[in-house]
Amino acid sequence: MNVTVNMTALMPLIILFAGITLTALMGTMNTSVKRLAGLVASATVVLAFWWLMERVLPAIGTSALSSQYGMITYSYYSIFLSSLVLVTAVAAFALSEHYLIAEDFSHPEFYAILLSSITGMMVMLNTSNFVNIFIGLELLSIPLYASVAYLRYKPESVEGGLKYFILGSIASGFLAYGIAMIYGATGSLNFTIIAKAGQTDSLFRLGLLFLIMGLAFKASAVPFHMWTPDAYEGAATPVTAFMSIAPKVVAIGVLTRVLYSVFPQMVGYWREGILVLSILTVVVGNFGAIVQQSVKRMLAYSSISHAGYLLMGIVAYSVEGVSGILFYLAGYMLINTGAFGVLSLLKRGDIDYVSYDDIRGVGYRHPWLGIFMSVFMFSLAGIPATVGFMGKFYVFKALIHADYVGLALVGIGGSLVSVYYYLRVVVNMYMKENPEETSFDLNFLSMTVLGICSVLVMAAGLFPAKIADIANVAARFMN
Amino acid sequence: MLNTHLLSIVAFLPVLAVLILAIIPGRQEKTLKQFSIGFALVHFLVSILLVLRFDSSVYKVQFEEVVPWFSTHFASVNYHIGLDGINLWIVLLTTFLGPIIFLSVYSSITKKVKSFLINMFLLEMGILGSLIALNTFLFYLFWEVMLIPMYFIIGVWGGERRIYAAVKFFIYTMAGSLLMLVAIIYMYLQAGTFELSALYAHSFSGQEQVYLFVAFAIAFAIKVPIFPFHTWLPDAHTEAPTAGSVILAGVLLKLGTYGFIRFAMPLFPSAVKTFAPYVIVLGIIGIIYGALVAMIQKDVKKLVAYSSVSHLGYVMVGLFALTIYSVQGAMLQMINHGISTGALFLLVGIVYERSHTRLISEYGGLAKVMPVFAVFFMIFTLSSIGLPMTNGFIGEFLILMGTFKSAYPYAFWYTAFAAIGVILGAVYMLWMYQRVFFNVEPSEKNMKLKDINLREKIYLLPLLIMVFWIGLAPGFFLKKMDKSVEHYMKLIQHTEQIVISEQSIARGVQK
Repeated sequence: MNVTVNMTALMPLIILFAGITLTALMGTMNTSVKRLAGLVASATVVLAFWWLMERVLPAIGTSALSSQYGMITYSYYSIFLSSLVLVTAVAAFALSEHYLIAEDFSHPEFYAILLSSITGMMVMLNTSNFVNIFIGLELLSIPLYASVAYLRYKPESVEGGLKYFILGSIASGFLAYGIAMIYGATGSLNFTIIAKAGQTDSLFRLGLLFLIMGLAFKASAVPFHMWTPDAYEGAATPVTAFMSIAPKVVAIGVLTRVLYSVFPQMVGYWREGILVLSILTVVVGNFGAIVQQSVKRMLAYSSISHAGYLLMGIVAYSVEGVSGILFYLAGYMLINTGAFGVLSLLKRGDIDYVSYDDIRGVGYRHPWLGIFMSVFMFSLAGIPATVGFMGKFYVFKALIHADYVGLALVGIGGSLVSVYYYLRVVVNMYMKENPEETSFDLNFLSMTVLGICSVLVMAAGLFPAKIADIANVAARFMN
Repeated sequence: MLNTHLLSIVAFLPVLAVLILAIIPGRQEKTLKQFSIGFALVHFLVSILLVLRFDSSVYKVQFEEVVPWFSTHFASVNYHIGLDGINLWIVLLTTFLGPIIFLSVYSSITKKVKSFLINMFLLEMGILGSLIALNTFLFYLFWEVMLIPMYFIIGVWGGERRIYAAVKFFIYTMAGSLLMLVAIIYMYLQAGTFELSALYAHSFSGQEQVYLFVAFAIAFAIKVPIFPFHTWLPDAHTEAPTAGSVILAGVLLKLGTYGFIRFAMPLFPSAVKTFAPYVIVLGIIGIIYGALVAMIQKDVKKLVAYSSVSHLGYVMVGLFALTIYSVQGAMLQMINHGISTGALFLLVGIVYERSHTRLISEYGGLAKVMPVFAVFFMIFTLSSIGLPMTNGFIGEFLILMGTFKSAYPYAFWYTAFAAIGVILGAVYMLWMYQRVFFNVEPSEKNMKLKDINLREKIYLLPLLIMVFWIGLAPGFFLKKMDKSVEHYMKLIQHTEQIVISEQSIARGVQK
């Protein structure tokens, strides 16, 4: 059998592998070279992004660009999500630079680890074969476990990494088991062939169930969320920024695509399940966030609740729902990069823990930081004129359109609850006095990233047409 | 060109002020304050052009501007604004209160002046934006954005329990408006547009109207606030700085009643018919309850806050009595309440700045030490009570007369109970006045209080003029809203007939 290999399609992965090798090798060189690792990693990602935009995107016509019988497949949908991952990665690298130097633990391997994870994400997103879904998931997860535990001298970092690793392995197991069952039922791993088979027997159903469980874990949907707060809190804050966005983009993106295009005949079956998951996720995420004392943990729970809103978009089961999800993810990426970015700057020596008391009066000592954080918080709460509102608007509109008004009301109730804990950050920054005049070490690069994020949050909130249109095109060309 | 963009200019001038304020260094507090006063004055003068060029012989929307804002696969939204008899005076009231508020801020705000002024201008922009929006999406945007500066004003510059009050204010209002958001989305999906004029023409089924009306009504009822949604108001008022209370009482609350006349009522006429008696009863409960609670307050500011609950009850009764008189009276009463309650908050602020207390028991005999202040206070008290010749009288009279004439079976009782509020109003206001200004000899501490100064006279005087202007020549104000009110009444009643005839057709078919 003659396997056709399309180099254009493989190139982004090759670029990323080259970047991994390069940054890993830099670890063996002297300090002046080591310092460039962040730059090299960012350049790698930018190059991959450029290739995706300039070479892969034009090659997609009416049908997707695929290589090796769909092992690697690019569609508008997958490119949209891949871009989100890559942009997040660059922002996370920019934030890490300063953070790791302050931590005095900057090693080029850090970037190699994250690049591997990004490669895994690219594999998982741009495929129409279940084998690559599994390979991608493992390639995504294992470096991520390592990067959570990267600050190895901190007990909470190691604890978070270990928890993530153990629970994550079980989830991977579920996913693998699910894929095996689906293979058993249909005799294929290819999306199109499985979709055509139109199976509905119990083995197939069980496979789908396990598949959903595996992906829900990565999206930190309740009840598969237990690892989230610990892993988020233990990880270095820029890593948290990355892992609160990128794996979620991948998990939600793949889940949506698989459910919509591989299991459309089972819609009655999985729709109920996702509905229950989404309600649980929104409720537990929001109420969990209220009781937190650490801002980082609060944001961890908040990210759980946002996974819930995204799952609600899946329930809508329409093109509108998908484009809502995509728009939401784009907005969520901007906001969460910003919010965790601000947290990464609120560091006193090597103490990472930021409680509400620690941010008292920050709005006056660091006016810009305060404004940025307020923008992000209001946006997460879904206040209009920010992208967070537009995202929720689109998802809820899709839900109401699909006659799920009740579910939309649950989501809206959840976002009302969320106002309380997001405001709490603003309250502490502006309305409480801090007896001790601690100020934080802000650096230019991180502040630039935050500035760009907050401007984009506002701009996309006021003029959402551009992103919305792209999201809509992406939603219509899933395969 | 000026005419086509005049309204946008008025609405967005505050943004210019914010930009200029951002440039001025925060240490030059005097410059910042003086600039704000001057700017607000210019802003008001520009907005007077709106009145001068307003054509009161037609009902249609003037100074209209429709520009496509964004259009996507999900939703297309227009930037659509306009002015008619319904919102003209509230817009003017907002810009009118501007310079007055900034003059009062001159002495009352001493910390973080720059941020305060910026928030104040942003708030003004938000209010103006939501008042002139003729597109549900645009309206919602401004409606929510407005919360943020108000939240900061209460939370940063407020009193002891400011954070509690600010968060309560925010979450309470948000709860209502999120329901409204669902309704707005639902309407968009049904009618395919956010444009208000198209939505008026679209007839929703009876069942839909009930749900949609409830969603809108709760959002507005919280803002007004109608009993039992009023609990955030006393907290917000007591904790807010004077300037915040003035703008809150003066215009922010009016957005609730304005929302009823502009959105909830004409959009869902058949639901209005169903719910009107209940809303009127809640309004009457508000009138009496507000008055009774005001009576027992120990804190002057809280007393004035509860009097707001009572006064806005009248507005609600007037709107839902659905006669031309009562609706006009309600519209006028919104302005009146803004003027007299705004003035009362300013007066309370003045005496608080001097004595650092708001407890009635701490005062007594102030007429002796602050005679001019006492006169001002008296006039605004009487205006709040609704004494003939003052503005309050005209509004209340029209509302009561209109309610009496309305077609409801219990119209007489509605009027009778609402009128009890007038008596109770006189009781709590005059009793408070007596305890503050007379009764006993001023205590030693109070002997040192200074009477009001020139600056304070300057900003109270325009309010005083308005009290008598509206009180003696209400025709000028009523005439401008005549046509629009008539039109809106038709909108509410006309569609009603359609619905009724539809029902009778349906009944005929069943037979």
